[in-house]
This record gives sequence, structure tokens and C-alpha cells, in this order.
Amino acid sequence: MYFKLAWRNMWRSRRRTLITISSIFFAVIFAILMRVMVIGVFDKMISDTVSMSCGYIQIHHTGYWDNKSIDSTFEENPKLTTILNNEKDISAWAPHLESFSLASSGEQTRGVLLTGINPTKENEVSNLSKKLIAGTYLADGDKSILLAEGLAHYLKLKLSDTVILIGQGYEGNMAAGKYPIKGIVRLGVPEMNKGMAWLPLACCRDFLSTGKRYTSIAIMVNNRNEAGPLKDRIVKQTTGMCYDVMTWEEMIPEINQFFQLKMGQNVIMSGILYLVIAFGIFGTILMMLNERMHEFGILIAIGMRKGILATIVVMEMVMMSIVGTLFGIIGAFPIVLYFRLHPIHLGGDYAKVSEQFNFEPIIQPNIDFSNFIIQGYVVLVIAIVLSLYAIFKIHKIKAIAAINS
Amino acid sequence: MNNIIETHNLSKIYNPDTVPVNAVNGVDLHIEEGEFTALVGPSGSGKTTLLNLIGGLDYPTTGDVKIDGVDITKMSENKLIDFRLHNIGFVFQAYNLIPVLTAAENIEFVMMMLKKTKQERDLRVRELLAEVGLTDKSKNRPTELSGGQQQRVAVARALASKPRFILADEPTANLDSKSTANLLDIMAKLNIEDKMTFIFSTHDQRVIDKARRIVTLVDGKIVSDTKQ
Ligand SMILES: Nc1ncnc2c1ncn2[C@@H]1O[C@H](COP(=O)(O)OP(=O)(O)OP(=O)(O)O)[C@@H](O)[C@H]1O
Ligand SMILES: [Mg+2]
Repeated sequence: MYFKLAWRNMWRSRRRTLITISSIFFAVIFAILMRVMVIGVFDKMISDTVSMSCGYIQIHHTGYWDNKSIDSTFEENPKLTTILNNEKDISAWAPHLESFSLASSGEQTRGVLLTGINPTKENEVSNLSKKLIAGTYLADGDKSILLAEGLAHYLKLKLSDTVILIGQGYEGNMAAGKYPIKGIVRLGVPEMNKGMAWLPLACCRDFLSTGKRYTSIAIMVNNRNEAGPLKDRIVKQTTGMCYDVMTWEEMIPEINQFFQLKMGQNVIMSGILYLVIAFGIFGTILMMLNERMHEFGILIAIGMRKGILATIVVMEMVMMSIVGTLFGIIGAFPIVLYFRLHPIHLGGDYAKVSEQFNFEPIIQPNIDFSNFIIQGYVVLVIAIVLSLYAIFKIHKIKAIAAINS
Repeated sequence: MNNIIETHNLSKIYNPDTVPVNAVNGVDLHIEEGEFTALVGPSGSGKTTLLNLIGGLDYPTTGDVKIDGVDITKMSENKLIDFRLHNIGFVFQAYNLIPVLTAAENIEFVMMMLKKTKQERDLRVRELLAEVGLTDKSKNRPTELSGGQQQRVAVARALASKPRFILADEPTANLDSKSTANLLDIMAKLNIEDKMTFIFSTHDQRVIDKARRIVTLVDGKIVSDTKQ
């Protein structure tokens, strides 16, 4: 009966209820869209960056991160392989043998980040083969090289041309080699597009004289929020094995800081939006309390406890908020889904900015359902907090004065 | 006889610090079970104030109100609310009912607060609607009822908790003469058949004529108390 009472009261002033509900509805939609877009941009930025470089988690020899020397490498280890293969949260992992070298076409020379890869495993991590714009992808036994587009362009090299690599190999060995270009890839991250090259692992090991060694293992996860706990588990299982394990947040803190900053701004924007909702709800509460004073007086006079009365009023506000929020969530979903399937490609200024921050100028919303749920909670909390005012008012009611109002 | 209500030296002074108004001034009133009492007097004589004090809707400045020997002026507000629910029926001048509930629900609602079972509630709602002659209006909302019908539902609601007595402050003030007579007949019938005690205030001579005891107030004091 109390529920029935609250439900019917809610529809008593139909227009006001509809206005309140629709203001909640639109605010929830906007808040959700803002949030999923911002997170989506960062998803893209982070995954673009980590998949082509360090992974969400990277394992390397103790001390390698601070002093990236080719001497600070580690040998293939079947135990480690087993640990990684047994972890369910790992979606893919790939060994890297990385080294800075000079790439030259004879005419032009430029420093590059050369990475020795296992072509199959690498593809699972970074989808490198999909990024080919010319030639073919590497195979295990190849003695040829993949160049990033910008690098090839700078060196004025085409497919099948030969590139000369010079660098420092293991334990002070001189490293030098000539490799035909098997493919050219285009990377979304402009900085990377200008300076990356890949050799098959065996070929790279020959070049750097490292024997069966890696500099690091890049690990991808299904959900980047799992990176922290996964790292802890790997650390636990590899104690005493001379490895450092780092998460992307530790390796590229700038991105995470920027992300947190943007999320902070997002929270402020949503906050303003919610302030508007809050005023709407509060106005509704004020009008409702005013209109119903006489009725409240009667109810208290005939023996209704104020707590029950307050509960009914709070129920009304909460139901209104739930209806508005629910419709907002349902309404936002197809919009988010649409942009998920049809990401927005941006040009102009935004593209320039995105270049600075190393990601493709694409906005593709994040579709994690938690983004929707969070907004629902927020609105609900607002409604409940504001209802406290109604509770306070109801507890101050004097039956006679209320009846006479 | 058995006194349900006893007031002793009951006084209520409004605005004691600014312009004091002695709305009720030293009233000693005893009401016995089964009485049908009209409270009369000129406007501002303190009828409403006295009814509010007896009904535990307000606290007196001095004196006390005993209901079945229990002094309700010493009760906390929450205790009083529960006490009213269990012991006192109220009928106000107008707009007594909850607009979003039907006639039947308005009555049932009181028994919900008393935690009666669905069966008990349904039975009693039917009984009460029959007693006030509104069986066919059970599913109507207050706005779909005439003023007189609304007041009859209010009487039925006041009876729902089987109270010790019913207080009605000018229950017929907003009614035409036909509805007034009808409401009074129902109240009189409940008084005679069910021994329900009523105290009502009124300005209406036709209502006063139906009362069996008439208490007249002037300036907050009882100036006459007659039985007819
Ligand atoms: N809340 C209040 N504050 C101050 N004075 C009040 C208040 N309520 C009533 N009074 C005063 O107390 C006196 C008695 O008022 P009360 O309403 O009890 O009279 P009444 O007999 O019911 O009058 P009526 O026949 O007009 O309903 C009046 O002088 C009135 O002005
Ligand atoms: Mg009065």
C-alpha cells in the first residue's frame, strides 16, 4: 500500500513528474556520452601505444628499464613461458629483442628502434600484419626487414630496397647488417611511424649476437584494469628469477596522468550537469512538500508516523530518479553502440593534437557497462541526498499547522 | 458512569510572550462513554483549540487531558501519534481524504498502519462502507465524490481503528443541508447502535438540535453544559 501510495502520488502532478523525469533522462544520456567518449579516446590512445611498444605489462631483466642496454637481456626460460601460458587474463604475449640502431640507405641515416619479433606471437599482440601498406609480413626464417612508413619515406626507400643497420651488439660486439625490405607498415602513432623497424627474432639475434636472449616480453590483457592484479601474480610466481615486471602505468606514466586529468575534467563537467538535475529534483521536492502540507497534516493527525510518511516521499523521489535514469541508460545505449560501430574520424586541429599525444584521431566510445551504471548510481544518490531535505521537513511538521495550511 | 475523557483545569495560551490569547481557559470537562456531544460557541471561543487538546494534536499550557485515565499531555510526540492511531478517530472540516486513494483504500490504509491482515481489512472496509451507505462508491477517488460523501468516508475511516471516541471539528461546515442531515443521521446511528462516542463542534442549529449534550464555550470557558 505504501508503494502504491508513492507510485500514485508520483503521477499526481503528471506534467511536473514528466519534466523531472525527462531532465534526468537527458542529463544521464549526456553524462554517459561524455564519459564513454573520453574513456574511448584513452582506450584507443593507450592500446595504440602499448600494443606497439611495451604491452600492458612488460617483463624484463632486472634494471633493464632504467638502463636499456643490450647486455641487460635474459635467456629464454621455459618456466616463464609456462607461467604466461597458464594465465587466463593474458590475451597475448610476445617476446621482444629491442635495440636502438642506425638505419641507413646510404644517402640518409636515422636512429631507429629495432625490434626482433616472433612474427606469429607479435601479430597477436600488435596486429602488425594488418598495418602493412606494402609488401608482405615477416615469417620466422626470413632475413628481411619491416619498416615503418615514415622511416621508409625519410630514408627514401621502397619495397625490396636494402637498408643498412649499424648498432652495438651483445657484450660490446659490433653489429652490422644489410636487409631487404619485405614490407612497409603504417602506424597510427605518428612518433612510432617515424622510427620503427622489425626483424624476425632469429635474424635479429644474429645481428646483435645475443644468442637465445630477449630484452623483454610484452603482455596484452583483455581489460586494462586487470593489469595491476596480473602483474602482482606474475611477480609472485617469478620471485628469484631476476625479472622486473612493470605495468603500462609505470612505464608510460604520462598517458595515465593525462587520462586522470581528463577524467577529472569529465567529472567536473558531469558535476555541472548533475547540479542542474539536482536543482530540478529539489524544485520538485519543494513544490511537492508545499502542495501536500494539508494532506501530511491529516495523515499525521490520524496516526501515521512521520518516518513512514518520509519513506513514502523518498520512495516517490527515488522512483522518479530510477525511471529517468533507466530511460537515460536505455536511450544512451543505441547511441553509444552506433558510435562504437561507426567511430568518429577526426581531422583538422583535433588530429594535430592527437598526434602530439601519440594516437590515431579516432573517437570510439568505450562500451563497458559500468560507465552506464555509474551514472545511475550518481543520480540515485543525488535523489536520496535531496530527499533528506524532505525527511527533515516532514519531521518538523506540526499536524494542526499543516492541516490549516 | 465511565469517563472516557477528563480534562482538569485545561488551558491553552497562544503567543504567551507577545499578545497572549487565552484560547482555552481552565476547562474541566468530562465525557462519558456513548455520549453525543456538541461543542458550540461563537467564532474564536476556543472550540477547535479544545478539540485539538483532547485529540492530542496540541499540548496545553497548563492542565491535563486524561483518556481512560492516561494523561496524554505527558506523552512524547511519537507516542502521541501511535496513541491517536489506536484510540482516537478524527473528522476534519474538509479535504480529509488522500486524493490518490479510492474510498475503500482510504479506509483500509488506517488498518494497514495497524498491521491488520488483508482479510480483516477487506471485511471491515466493506462493513464500514455499508454503514455510511457508500458501498457502490468504494472504487471512487475523493474527487469523484460529493462533499457529503467525502465526509461519510472520513467518518468510516475514523471508525476503522475502532477508536474510543471520534472528534469532529465542524464536520458539516462545507455541506448543504441535505448532506448535513444525512451525515448527522449516520453519526447518530453509530452512536446509538455501536455506542460510539462523538464530540463535534458546530455553528449549525440543526446539528445542535441532534446533539444530546451541548457544551457552550465563550472566551475559552465553559458557560453552559446541558443535556437534551
Ligand atoms: N495558532 C494560533 N495562534 C494564535 N492564536 C490562535 C491560534 N489558533 C487559534 N488562535 C486564537 O485562539 C482563539 C480560539 O480559536 P479557535 O480556533 O479555537 O476558535 P473556534 O471556536 O474554533 O472558532 P471558529 O468557530 O471560528 O472555528 C481565537 O481567538 C483565535 O484567534
Ligand atoms: Mg474552529
